Amino acid sequence: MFHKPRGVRRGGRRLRVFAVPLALALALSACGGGSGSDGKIHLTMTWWGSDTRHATTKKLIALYEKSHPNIVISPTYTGWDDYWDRLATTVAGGNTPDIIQQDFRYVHEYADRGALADLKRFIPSVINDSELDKSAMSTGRLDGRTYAIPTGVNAFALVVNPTLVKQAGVPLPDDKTWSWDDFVNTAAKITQATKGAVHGTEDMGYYDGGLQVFARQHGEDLFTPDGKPGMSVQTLTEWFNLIVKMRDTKAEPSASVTHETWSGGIDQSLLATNKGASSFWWTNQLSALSADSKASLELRRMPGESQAAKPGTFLKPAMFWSLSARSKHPEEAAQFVNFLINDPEAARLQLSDRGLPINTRLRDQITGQLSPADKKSATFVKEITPELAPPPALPPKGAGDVEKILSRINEEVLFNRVSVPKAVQEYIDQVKSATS
Amino acid sequence: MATSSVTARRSRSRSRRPRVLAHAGLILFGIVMLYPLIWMLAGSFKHTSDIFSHPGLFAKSYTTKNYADGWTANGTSFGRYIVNSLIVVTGAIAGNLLACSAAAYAFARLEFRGKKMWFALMLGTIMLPIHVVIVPQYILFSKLGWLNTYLPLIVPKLLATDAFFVFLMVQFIRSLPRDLDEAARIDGCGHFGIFFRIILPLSKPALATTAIFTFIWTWNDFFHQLVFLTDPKMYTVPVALRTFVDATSQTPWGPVFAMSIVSLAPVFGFFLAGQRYLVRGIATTGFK
Repeated sequence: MFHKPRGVRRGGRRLRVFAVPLALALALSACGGGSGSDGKIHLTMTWWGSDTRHATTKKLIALYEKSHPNIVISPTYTGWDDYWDRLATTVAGGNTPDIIQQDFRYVHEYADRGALADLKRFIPSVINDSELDKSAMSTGRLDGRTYAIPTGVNAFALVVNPTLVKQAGVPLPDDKTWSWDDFVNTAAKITQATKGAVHGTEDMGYYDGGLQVFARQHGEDLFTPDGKPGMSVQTLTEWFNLIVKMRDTKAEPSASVTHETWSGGIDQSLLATNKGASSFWWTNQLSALSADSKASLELRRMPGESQAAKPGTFLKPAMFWSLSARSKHPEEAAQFVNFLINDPEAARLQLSDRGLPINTRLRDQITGQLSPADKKSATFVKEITPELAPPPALPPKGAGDVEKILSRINEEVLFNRVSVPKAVQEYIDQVKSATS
Repeated sequence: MATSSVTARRSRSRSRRPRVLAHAGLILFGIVMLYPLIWMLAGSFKHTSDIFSHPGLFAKSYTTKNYADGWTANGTSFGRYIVNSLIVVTGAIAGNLLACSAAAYAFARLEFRGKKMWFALMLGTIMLPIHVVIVPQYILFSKLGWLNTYLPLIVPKLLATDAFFVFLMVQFIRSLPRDLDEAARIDGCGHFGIFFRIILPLSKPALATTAIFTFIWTWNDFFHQLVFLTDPKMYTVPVALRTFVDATSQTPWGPVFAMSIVSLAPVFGFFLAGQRYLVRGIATTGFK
């Protein structure tokens, strides 16, 4: 993405070429830049999402403005892919929005750039943390500062279509004790029993969610707590061998089908189109998958948890709220964040759209109002929470590239273009150069 | 006599069969190329849940609800976004026509120091990737207080920043006979007179090409509009369309397809209306 220093330096050269028309334009627009003359406090806020989130968040803003007549919040929103391009540009341009929806992978990067405010001074005076999930709260911290407040939590899990499994006539092993081999064998049997009409599962190698759980089960992680690449050659080899095995046993479809469905996003996944019996997703995605497939989908624990020394699954902050370090009204922005995470009315509007609420009292309170699919996710998360290990620390700058690196290498492995040992080496080299 | 008519008939039938074959092949190829568009059109009338589970052209039932839903989604009428896009496009076309033709006239007709170098520099700007210039541009427009206005999308066009069009018009103007300029000069025209009375009227095909491509490119330009417009009320068509599409959650594909079809209509119409100028332009440039 954009590296600030280089962009700015080149900009200098270009600016000079434009100096004359610029001076003219400046003279013409001397009136610009005078917002907030109505005596109200203006805040800007940005998030990514789809149309339902846009609608609920605008309702939240309207609700807050009603009870705080001196505050005006201007929203801006788009989909996930474009969000980071726009945020990178606005931050580099010194125009960071006051309230930013952040992701696990990018908090470190933006904190390093000095774009995010340390929220410590607002806790607990403005942002009340007495009811917030303690272990999730720790993920927003970095070097003793608090850069981000989680909005809610999700867990990575296996989504299963029980109807398709039953039709195939293959018994599903107990998810409390199943190993990765049990999982692959079951999936392969489902494909066999349906003669390929339904695949047992989908490829899990394009996304780093499964790899992270796998790494943690082996006592490692994508990154060490101090932000170095954290995966060993041995674990990565096991992982890629598992992917190859899933492909060769036909537990998952052919490489070309996998590639096609992966690029289609959630709506075109095999589970969503009823062509696959199971797949790994975040718990909050169960409702979208259920709506697409019109089936009653269920959640199962990750395989291999009981064989591992430490469980790999953890409660991941779905998103974060961060504040701009250059905000003119940090206190008011923090008050709004407090409203977003602690207000019962706000929780009732958002439900689990930004993950199951970080406020544990509200999490229990809204469970009854959730849609059937979301209720299943909430119950599942509550059930597995005692079994889980604490979440990892914030990944280093450049961690946003891991998914891209992984999906590129995974594709080459699936299409047999590189051997497993070479894939392992490529992954290690590329992650190292992306994060150093 | 007899033999020659036989050979003539034979040669005619021989030439006709390949032509029928060629046409059949071209039509087939055309259908293959059009299929994605037809698929999107079909998708815009399907229920969202059917689009990917029944990916063929046909579904059990069709609906026009997608158009109504898409038009009013996000609480703002889609017509608003179309008007916004039209404002940007009109400004961009006016800017490009005026500025690029003036710059092209200078490069094609005037002599000044370092002309070749300036021309090369201008062409070099085509190769600058957008990601390199977008941050400095953003800082610039932010300092000017132009964010959330259409000025960053229109004003640069008044400075002939679309080097491609300058190049296109330079080539066109060079092909116009200089005798006309000289005749005008003898009649008392200065540079402005020559430009407005001789060059511009003769450059209509090149101007039409510029207008058409500016329309299509500006209408489809997503990234600049994404970055400079942050107020949802100011969103243009491509930016508004992308607010629906989120890979991490469920996307309402039916309304997205419906609005994509709607947003294609102006481009299609403008292209149809302007197409004959485009063809004429190519014909006259080839004529030299």
